[in-house]
Amino acid sequence: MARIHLSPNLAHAVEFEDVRLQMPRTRRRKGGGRGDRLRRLARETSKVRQDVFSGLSLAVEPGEAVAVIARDRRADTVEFLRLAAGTLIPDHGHVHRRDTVVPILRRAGLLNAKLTVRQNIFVIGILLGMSPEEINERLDWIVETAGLTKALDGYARACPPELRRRIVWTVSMATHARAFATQGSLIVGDESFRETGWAHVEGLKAEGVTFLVAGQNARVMERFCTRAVVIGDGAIVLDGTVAEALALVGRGTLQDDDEETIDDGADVLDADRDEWRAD
Amino acid sequence: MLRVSIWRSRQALFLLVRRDLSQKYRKLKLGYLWAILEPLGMSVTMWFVFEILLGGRDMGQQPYYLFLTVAILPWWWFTSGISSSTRALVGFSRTLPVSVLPTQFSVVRVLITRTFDFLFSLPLILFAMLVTWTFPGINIGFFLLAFGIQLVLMYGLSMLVASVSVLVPDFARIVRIVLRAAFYLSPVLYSLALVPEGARSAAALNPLAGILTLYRVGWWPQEHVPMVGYVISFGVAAVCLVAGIITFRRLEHRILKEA
Repeated sequence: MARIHLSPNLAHAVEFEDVRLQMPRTRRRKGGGRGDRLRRLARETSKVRQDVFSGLSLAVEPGEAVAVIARDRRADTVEFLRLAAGTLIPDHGHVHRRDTVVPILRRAGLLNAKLTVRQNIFVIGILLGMSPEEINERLDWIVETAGLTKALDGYARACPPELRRRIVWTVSMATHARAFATQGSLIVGDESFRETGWAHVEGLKAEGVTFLVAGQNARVMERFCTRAVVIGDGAIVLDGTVAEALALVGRGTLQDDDEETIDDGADVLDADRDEWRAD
Repeated sequence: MLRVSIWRSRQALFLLVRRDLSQKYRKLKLGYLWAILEPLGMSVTMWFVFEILLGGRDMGQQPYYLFLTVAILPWWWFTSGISSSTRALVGFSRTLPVSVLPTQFSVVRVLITRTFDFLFSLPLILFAMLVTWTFPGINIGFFLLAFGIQLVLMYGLSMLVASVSVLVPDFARIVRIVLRAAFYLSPVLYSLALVPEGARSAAALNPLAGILTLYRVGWWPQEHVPMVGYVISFGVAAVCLVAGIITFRRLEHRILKEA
């Protein structure tokens, strides 16, 4: 029943096998009829099922760094990464993975403003599959690498965006995973921290850690990725080098994914807030 | 597979359960006492209405206050557990895409938190026993059995309710209505023996009927129903468990898409 199956004997790091996926997408109503016009006025939306992948097959070898590039829309790369990590289940076909693939998506949304930085480290660590003991063990490394000594017991609300990005990046690296699926969070932060980031991820790549990278600019992709996959129309349009991929989609279309929201709302720790209403 | 995946994240699970519990009581002036005060208020009100106000009507065994308390606590556990499971996955939907924890993690977490709430409220039974000076016999062992069966039943129902609530937002309201009806349809206020002969096998279809009766037989062995009644009740509980697990398994990929 677990959504994330591991196959330790798999030859590849991640393998997509004829994957088909439809996602419900919210669409504003179109059409000129009175009903449609009224609904549009009421901002009512309808959900349509849309093909995201139709028959996608791909094998990623251990130690590869694959740039995942969407030919047109960005959203498909998120779904690709989620499938790889197992936080989405395909409608048809299978995704096999040898080790846990740690998803680093929506990274800023992971932080909760109402919690202290220390609590946030635990929450993110737990979500990414670490046990509290492991987090405790690696806390020193996290604090040192992200430069959190002063901020550790302050609220995340007070952290500058720069620091928030560093926190999430450092905690995800502390998972010691053998594979990562990252959307715009491979290399983050200011100049000096980017250096640390580069040294770390390149060290990991040399050790044989697998990376699926999306939402980074062309420079990062060129420097880091050994292979590129372009996705379009629900299938793989191109599977080759980064240079070939960039020639196809154009360098300018690739931007660093920089969402800067911090979550004030519902989160892992407040799942059960209105418990006194139970009747 | 299910057991393994939840078991692997047990440390994280207990950390969050502990936090849920401390968080819940920390903000309140009376703290932990609220785990007791709320069911206490409910049982005293019911006792007052049915024993004093409408006095003399035979609703169940004597002393009625203890009779009521023994069933109200498990009922409270059941209703609060099921109604909070409607929000278990909905509240977590933002974290599902980024988390490598099992999807049912939050459902199990809510259930365990509620179970601890129930365990914390058990001193109320002791209080009722002292007030009425009535003590259980050897049959009290059935209390543990009832606890186990209720836990299994609630696991199944929580999985069912939590997964359907994600896809059909109206479901949470339906659950609330059903729970309110179930309060009167289950032998909380009354004894199963008072149900007319003809309706008794229909009443046994309610898994709570068998469970609540088992909780009570420690004090009133005459409450025991024929074996058939238990078989039907616990059979339905087992069906709920299987239905919950299957529903969850079938809906899991759609739940993940909604997140």
